[in-house]
Amino acid sequence: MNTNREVQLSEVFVELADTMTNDFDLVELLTSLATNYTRLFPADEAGVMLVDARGGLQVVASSAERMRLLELYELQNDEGPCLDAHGTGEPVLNVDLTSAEADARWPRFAPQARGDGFSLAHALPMRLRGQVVGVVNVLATGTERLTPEHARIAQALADVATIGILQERAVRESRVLAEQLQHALVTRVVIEQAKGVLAERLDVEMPEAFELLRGYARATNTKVGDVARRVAAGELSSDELRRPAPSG
Amino acid sequence: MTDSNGARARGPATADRLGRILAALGDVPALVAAPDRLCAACIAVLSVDGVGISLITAGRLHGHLCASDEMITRLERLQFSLGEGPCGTAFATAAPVLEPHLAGAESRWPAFVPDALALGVRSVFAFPLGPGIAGIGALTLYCREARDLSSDQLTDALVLAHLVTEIILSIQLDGPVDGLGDRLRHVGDGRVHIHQATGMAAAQLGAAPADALSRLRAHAWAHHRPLADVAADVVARRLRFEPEVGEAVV
Repeated sequence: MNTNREVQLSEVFVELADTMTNDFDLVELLTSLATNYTRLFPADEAGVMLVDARGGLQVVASSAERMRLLELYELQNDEGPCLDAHGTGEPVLNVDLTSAEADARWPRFAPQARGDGFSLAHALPMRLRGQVVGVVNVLATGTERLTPEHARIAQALADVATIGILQERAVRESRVLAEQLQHALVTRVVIEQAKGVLAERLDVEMPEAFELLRGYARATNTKVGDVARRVAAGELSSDELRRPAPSG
Repeated sequence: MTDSNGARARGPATADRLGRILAALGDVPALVAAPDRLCAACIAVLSVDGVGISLITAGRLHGHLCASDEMITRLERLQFSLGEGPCGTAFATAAPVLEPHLAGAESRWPAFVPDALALGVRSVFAFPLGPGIAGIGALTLYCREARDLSSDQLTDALVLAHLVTEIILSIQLDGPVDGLGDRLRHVGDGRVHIHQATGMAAAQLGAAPADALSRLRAHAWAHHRPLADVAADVVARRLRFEPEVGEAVV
């Protein structure tokens, strides 16, 4: 691994370690993690999905918010590397999306992923206490495969992110795993609802709507999930969102 | 394994859970016809002492749909009159509210806790009905012992909350009651679209998100289309909802 990547990796782990102590924003953490996958490895997009009470995989963060990408993650509730990783609890690595085997194994996912420009896919299970609580989906448009060293680090990041989710201060008192996951899942639902409100009010696309939520949260030193709740509930106008008052 | 729609069914454990809960609930059309029996049916699913279902609009307790017995009715009404309690908290946070030791929770609900303890309740678990900010109420479980829910019981309660939501919406919107289990089995279907469409329709209609989602569902049922497809049309701006005129295809 080159020095630049080593520095980046150290920064990522420091950021993740922050979750153990400070009041942090889970949405920002997971979005940043997803983005970091694209910087640390030969990858172009990454998404973090958590398992909900009905056993479905729900997207909670992504390196990009365009609909086709979110749909590609969501499709893997029915078939795909993420469903496989969820089922087996083992990483699924270096899937060649251009191969006949991929088409045979995933007759909907493989063509759709190729249509979106991806040629390689990986799925890293997020595991805790013998249970798979989520999956990180990593997608690449190039053909450079993950080396065994990449794979170890990629899996370590997923495992640390899992711990980070469970450390969220608000739910630290809870001992029940399912409750801890609910907060992450619910936050994302509210964010999607808020994106819809903004997309309509401001006539913007969903990725821009998400960036407006993040920008306002940063400018006001609040959490993205809380901003989203206020927007979705009609308590924060789209005008104010675009021109936030400076934080105290 | 795949079902008749070609979609892979959830793993065996999850399918079993949903099947078990549906079987324990009993005759769903009968519950739709007599919703006052829904809470009693929920007791059959979970090992708790009481169940209440409250309906909440615009952040205020609207009333209760059912309660498994008189004491639960009192507990639900208490939260309504006090303006505080686990139901309201679950609704406001859109997340489960688990209080295994009510006696130690007075700081959470200073008016509700002493009264609830006096009525013999020692633990309470409340679950929002409906997704995110588009909630319609809460499903609340009451126990006479101070106890935790196991992860398994918690997951059962979350699945039950989804089922209860579907049943209530079927009642409110006069929608289809058959295929309830199937609708819930297809967990991956377009949920991102549905949540985004809820927000878009709410902004288009100038309505609360719960009402916007109801409009989406009513449209889907009226046109015999899956909710996910209607939502995809809204997000792609092929379908708009207008406050006075109705639905407009762009």
